[in-house]
Order: sequence, then structure tokens, then C-alpha cells
Amino acid sequence: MNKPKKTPIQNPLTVLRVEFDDWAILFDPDSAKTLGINPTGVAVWKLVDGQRGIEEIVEEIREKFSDVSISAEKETSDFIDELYRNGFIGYSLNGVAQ
Amino acid sequence: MNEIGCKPIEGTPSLRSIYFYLTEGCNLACRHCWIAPKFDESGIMPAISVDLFRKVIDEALPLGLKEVKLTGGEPLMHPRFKELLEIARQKNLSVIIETNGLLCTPDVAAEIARLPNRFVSVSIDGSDKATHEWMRGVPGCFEKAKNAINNLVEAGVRPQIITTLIRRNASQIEEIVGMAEHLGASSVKFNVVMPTGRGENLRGAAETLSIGELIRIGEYIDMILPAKTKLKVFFDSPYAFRSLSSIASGKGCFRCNIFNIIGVIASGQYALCGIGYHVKDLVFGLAGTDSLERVWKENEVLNSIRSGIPDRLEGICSKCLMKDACLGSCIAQNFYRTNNIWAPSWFCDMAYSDGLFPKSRIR
Repeated sequence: MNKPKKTPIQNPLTVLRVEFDDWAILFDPDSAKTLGINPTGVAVWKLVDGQRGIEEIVEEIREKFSDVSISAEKETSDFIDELYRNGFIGYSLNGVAQ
Repeated sequence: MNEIGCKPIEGTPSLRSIYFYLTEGCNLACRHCWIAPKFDESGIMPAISVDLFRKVIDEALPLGLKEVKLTGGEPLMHPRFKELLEIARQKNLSVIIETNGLLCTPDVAAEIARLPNRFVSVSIDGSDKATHEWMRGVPGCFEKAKNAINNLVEAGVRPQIITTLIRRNASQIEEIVGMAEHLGASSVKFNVVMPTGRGENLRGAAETLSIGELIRIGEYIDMILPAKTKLKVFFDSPYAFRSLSSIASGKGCFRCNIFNIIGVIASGQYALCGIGYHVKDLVFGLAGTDSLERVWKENEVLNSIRSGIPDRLEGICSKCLMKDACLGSCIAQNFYRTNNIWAPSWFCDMAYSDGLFPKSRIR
């Protein structure tokens, strides 16, 4: 039996506002909880779709950016954790939001 | 990827910093000064006594004191300035000094350099004598300010140059930065004229820049100027007008640490800050007589600020996504303008009214 696949998924209420320098603000309109994110963070956010796991997200980030650090997987994992703690994302199990 | 905000305050915060407005007089007569001290070349105006300075520090240390800011008036006019430095050094405190530089001789600079943790800023408001002295009101002060920076650099202290931007020096930004590089300064900070004290008159006389002009200059200083200099350059605008990259880097993220400071003005009174010279409601007691611990823990205004900022901020500040970090920019100025502690920042309020507030930063 396959292990269930747990993947991060955006909270549909979260708003992303990309600014002139490609940095962006993520915020929850209800709580006004706010997070400023850099262009890599924006790219990660756009890949958080409930289908991709962290390894797949990192792989796509490596394809997209030329200067991705060797600790990208850990950094992405920490970022995803931070998004979860702030309520900006949830998790889906086998493609079903939890 | 930084969270923009601050943690909620639980209990009484530590009193990390005291702003000592050491002298009631100043040896310059700056057109924009928000404190508006009396002009005093002779140094006969009242000043905080050495005994009071020591007593306040001794009372503040158990409350968490780590730093003192020495400002004025003009702090170097204090007749026993070196003794104040020595007290701060003995107590292992960081020292911030804001000076116009006129009295910063090699001897004084050497005393400042003996402090293990110090930060000095010298005000220069133009790249030439005419502009600086028009702003500062006293002939000869331009050369003296530059000499002060030379003396500090020679002693091993690289000061920050602070320039308040107005219409007549706005075209000198790059020249001022070039001068700062030449003199050996560490950084340049560009301030906005506060509509308080004499700054209010300067605004009335149309010598100040419009909000639109200030926003454009801020973007230039934030995004373009850094590529043209090795110095750090900052523009002191509210958080909503700073790029996320500069906020994340910590570059130029000045925020009033309103939860952790108290002021002592030259009359010896505790106040929110120098605003105590103008607003009696923001004076909290008499240093040396009233217990600092009691003032710090029980004063109604301080406790109200702690419980209400940023959630009770009104107007555009209530809708701003940066309010947890910005904390209303300058509560003292907001109160001065409106008599309301929850009033929004004048800068953001005007920008919002003019349709210039960044839409991405509004809830």
C-alpha cells in the first residue's frame, strides 16, 4: 500500500500582492496577519498547489533560478512551516485538503 | 522572508533606552527644529545636572536600561558633558549622541571614542555653506560641522550625517553623500521635516517638500542611490513607503521603540520624548523626585500606549498592513497634531488623502 502523500496547499483566503521589485506581501484579510516575502518565496508560494510535495517544489525552483543554494530544501521546508504557522497554507492528503 | 510585525506586549516592557534632552538651549537656531530650544551661545540655559543624570540611570538599570541617547538642545553644550560620558561608560551603557558638531573638538571626540558602544550623528543640511547655514541660522557653522566629523574620524568614530530634506537642498542629495564619503562618515540619513515646533513654520512658509516629492525622493534613496555609493544611505519614512527588501535587510528600518523608551527633558521632567516640551499631557513626572519605576509601570499614558498600539490606531494606520511593524510611525507627533494618541501618522494620512499611499500596503 502506498504511503499517503501529504502536500502543502494555499489557504484560498490568503492574498498575495506582488510589488514593483518582485517582493510581495502575503496577508490574511481576516486577521491582517502579514508576511513579506522575497522573489524566491513568491515562486515557492505559486507552486504550493496541493499537488506538489516539498521535493518537487525545490526541483522546480532549481530549474527556475540559477543561484539556488545547496540548503534550498531545508530553507523551503522552513518557509512552508512558517506559512503553515501563520495560517497561509494547509495540507492536503492525496490531493484532498485537510 | 520576514514576518512583518511585533510580538504582543505581556506585562511591563523593559525600559531599554532613555533619551536625555540635556540642554534647554542650543547654539544654533535651526529653522526645522521640532524641539525649538532657545538660542544660547553662552551655555547659561538650564541643563540636566550630573547628579540627576546618574540618579535616573541608577533607577533605570533595574528596569532593563541598556542605552542612553544624549540630545538637546545641543548635548555638547552641557557644561559637564565628559562626566556624563564617563557615567555611561562605567554603567556599561551604549551611548547615542545627536550633535550639530560645533563643540566637537579633538578632545571631545577622543572622549567619545573611549566609549565601547557609541553611535554619533552630526547634522549637515547642505552640500555647501550657504544652504547649511540658511537652515541652521548661524554663520560659520558649516565648517565647524565638517571639522567635527574630521575630529571624530581621526579619533576612530565614523559618524552618521543626518540631513533634513527641504526644497532648497533636495537637489544636493548626491553631493551630500559625496561629501560624507570624503569626510569619512559611515552613513547618511535623510529626514523629513516634522510639522512640530519650528518645523511647522517651515512647512507654512512652503520651504518643505510635498508628500509626492518626498515619496519619489524616498524611492530614489531606497532603490537607486545605494548603487552610487559605498555608504549606507537611509530615508526616514514610515514603513509603508519602504521596499520590502530594505525592510527585510534591516537597512534603514528606523522605528521608534516607543514601548521601551522614556525621555528626560532639560527641566528634569520625565516625558514620552522631547515632545514633553510642547505637550504637557505627555509629561509624566519629575525625575529625581518621582520614582522612575512607578512612572514606568503605572503611568496611564504609557500603559494606554502599550495596550492600544497598534490595534487602536485610527485612519489609514488602522488599514495599513505594516502597522504592526511601524506602530504609527511617531505617536508623539500624531498626538501633537491632533490631541489624539491613536491618530494616524501625518505623512501617511496626507499620502492617503492625495491618493499616494501604496495600494499593496492597505488591508
